[in-house]
Amino acid sequence: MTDHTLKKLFEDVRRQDAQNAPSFERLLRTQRSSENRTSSGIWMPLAFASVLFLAAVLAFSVLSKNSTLSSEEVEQWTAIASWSAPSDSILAENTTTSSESFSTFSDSLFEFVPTSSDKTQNL
Amino acid sequence: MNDGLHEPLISPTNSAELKDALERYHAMSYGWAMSCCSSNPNDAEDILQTVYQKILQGRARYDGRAAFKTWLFAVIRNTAASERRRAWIRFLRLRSYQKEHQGDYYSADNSEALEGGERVSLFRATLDRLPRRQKEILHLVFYQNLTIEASAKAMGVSLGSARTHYDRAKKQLGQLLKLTGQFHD
Repeated sequence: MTDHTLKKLFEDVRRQDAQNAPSFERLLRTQRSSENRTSSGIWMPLAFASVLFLAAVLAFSVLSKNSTLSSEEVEQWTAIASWSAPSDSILAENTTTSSESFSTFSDSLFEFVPTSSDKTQNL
Repeated sequence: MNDGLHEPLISPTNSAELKDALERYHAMSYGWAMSCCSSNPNDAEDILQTVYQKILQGRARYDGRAAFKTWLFAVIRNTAASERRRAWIRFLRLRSYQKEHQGDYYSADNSEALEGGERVSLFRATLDRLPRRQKEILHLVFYQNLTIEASAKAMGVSLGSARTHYDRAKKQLGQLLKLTGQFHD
């Protein structure tokens, strides 16, 4: 197969390609329309995200509105908090301060037992 | 540097000049894109469109280190390669579509053109049997009239490697064409 024959064969291929090649302008036009598609493709998720955001804000405001107590509920809870039972006096608070001490019978059981380190020091 | 035969030096700087340069090489770029994607006209068109988009949006920049045509061909080749890597999942789905349209593409209206078209189709099919690099170097040298040196740059291989591919490709293609019994010197 000579170079000349190969060149001729490739020329035939080139001729066929030239006949079938899409026009340059058409490719650019398609490019522009695909750019437009891309830009509209950006708007779609953006719109979806906006809707989600608005829904989240709405849901938050509704929930926070529901969570605020009405005046009736406040009165009800205040009444419960200020209510005192007859047995409340039994629940007397401890009046002994931490600085005060007193001895008991069992104190004698707590004898001083030297530890192993004390023994070593004595040696 | 003048890589192609009788190709004037151009080095577009702004977008209008770039567009003119792309339009000037459009037919050749299409032929190269066809070669880079196994003669599938749909893929070639997609690749070319992506390449134009890349260049006109400034995602692929011409730095003047090689001739514009060589650089453009390298961009087309790289784009085709990355498309091939990404498109392996789509491949099976598109295969039937490709077969359908290849039939349309190679068919012609009159019998004389059909004969010529069939011969070209057979030549393309034989070319597609060559390893990719061998097919590319033959296309760049014989179709695009590039020197082996410029072809090496467009393919992103060394000059020595390009020469080896060129020699092997010619031998192998000669043998394959002989086997078809349709091509004679």
